[in-house]
Amino acid sequence: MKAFRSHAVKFGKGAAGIAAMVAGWEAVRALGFVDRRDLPSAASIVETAAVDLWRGDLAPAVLATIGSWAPGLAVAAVAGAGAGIALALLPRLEIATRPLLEFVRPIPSVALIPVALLVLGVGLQMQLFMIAFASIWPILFSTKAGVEDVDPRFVETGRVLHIGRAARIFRIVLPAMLPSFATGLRTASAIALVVAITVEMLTGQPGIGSYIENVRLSGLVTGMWASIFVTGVLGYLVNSLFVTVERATMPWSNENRDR
Amino acid sequence: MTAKGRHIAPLAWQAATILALVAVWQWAALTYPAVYLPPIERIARGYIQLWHGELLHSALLPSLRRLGLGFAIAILAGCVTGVVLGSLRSLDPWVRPTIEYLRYIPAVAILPASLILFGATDQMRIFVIAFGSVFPVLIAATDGARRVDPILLDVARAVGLSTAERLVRVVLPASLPSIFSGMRVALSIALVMMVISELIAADDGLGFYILRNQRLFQTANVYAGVLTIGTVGLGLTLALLAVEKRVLSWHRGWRGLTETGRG
Repeated sequence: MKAFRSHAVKFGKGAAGIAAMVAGWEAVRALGFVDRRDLPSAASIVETAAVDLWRGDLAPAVLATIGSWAPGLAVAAVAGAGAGIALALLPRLEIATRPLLEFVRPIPSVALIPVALLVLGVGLQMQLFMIAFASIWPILFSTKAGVEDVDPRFVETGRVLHIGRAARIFRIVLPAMLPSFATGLRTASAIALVVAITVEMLTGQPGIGSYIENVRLSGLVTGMWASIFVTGVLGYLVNSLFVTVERATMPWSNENRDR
Repeated sequence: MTAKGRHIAPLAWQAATILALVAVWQWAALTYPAVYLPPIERIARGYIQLWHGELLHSALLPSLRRLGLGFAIAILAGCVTGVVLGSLRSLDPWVRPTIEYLRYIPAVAILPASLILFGATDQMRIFVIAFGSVFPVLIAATDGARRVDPILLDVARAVGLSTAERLVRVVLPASLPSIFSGMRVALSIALVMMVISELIAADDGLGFYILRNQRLFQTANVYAGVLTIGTVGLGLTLALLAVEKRVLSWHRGWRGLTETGRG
């Protein structure tokens, strides 16, 4: 009962904070710093979001974005984890490829969209490639760090217990590095969403990005704010999904420590 | 193998990897000429052109200016808000849901909105860069301020510092290690937002340069532009690390690093 009460109080404070933000929004509108037509009321934005999701083209656009985001991220997860483990376990490979990785790292992936347009043209293939390419790096680097940070005592214990090399990797190293892989995957999921939407905005590939651009160019300002609001909810849900899965499946993860 | 030999061997491997890649690229470009595979010397020419003369003023400098202003605003806003939120813990439940919602909006999505509010101006690009990169700084500053050693705060209170003085002279310096790691993340996001804002709505800057050359099929220039952005990213990251090392020379993490480096 007491726990429920403190949850309710926390929820109430959070709701009050959001209400304050909405009030600030309305105040900016009322004071006339910007043209009112460019800044519709919060209520009308939420209403339009609900209507467009229910009856309009917004829900198919969201699904189209998820439909390219998920496979792109899945490819990056497999390839990134594989490469990260290989680089951590094979120091020679790591040394030889280090200049290449350090060279690619500072280049923002979105800058490569024009290059991908040249090589692959417009289409789903190019979008998937860009999503996978952009999201592979955080997964690769955090997997590599995770494998390198595995407590050597765990591996030694395995050796003492006569566990073979392959079994040591699967039963000791992999579980120990999973939390950092999960953190990398969560970072990558946000990057993948940004890249998916950017490609849609630039090339008109169906999805949230092209939807937002279309409603903006048709002068549907409320519709544009509504779709941005929905995009924010999507980003929030994606992150919560990953955090929840991490907490539920990896009791030894850092995500469980501050609770 | 001597210690020196062990040190040189990796360098030799790395140099060999780079040379092999360049050689393969050049061989492929000459044997199978294609639009997307320009020879190295044309990429190099495009790259050099970007660093002086007319292109420096129409591509590199406008981008750097937007990046600098947007990033500076993000650092300032992020540090101030974060330090306040981190030290006044009772505020946290009130603002957390709002911040959690805002920080997970994919930052590209607000670009069309700022395009409507500001038009295709530099303010719009600076706003988008600042919005995208403020959250890592804010979160890191909140986190750092929350973990300040309570003894430091007690001492500050005992010697009679006011709340504002405590924030600026105790909490802020103590949060700096955390803030710097947030700034590194923020820098890479700022770079992404700079490129996106110039790809979608600009008539100068590096993003615009890349997109225009792609449309003109001047592929060598596209690669040169991408390399320039990479160079800027690398340079700024190194600069940030240098500042961090200087500012945080008192911090245990850095002290530990230099000591092990010497030993």
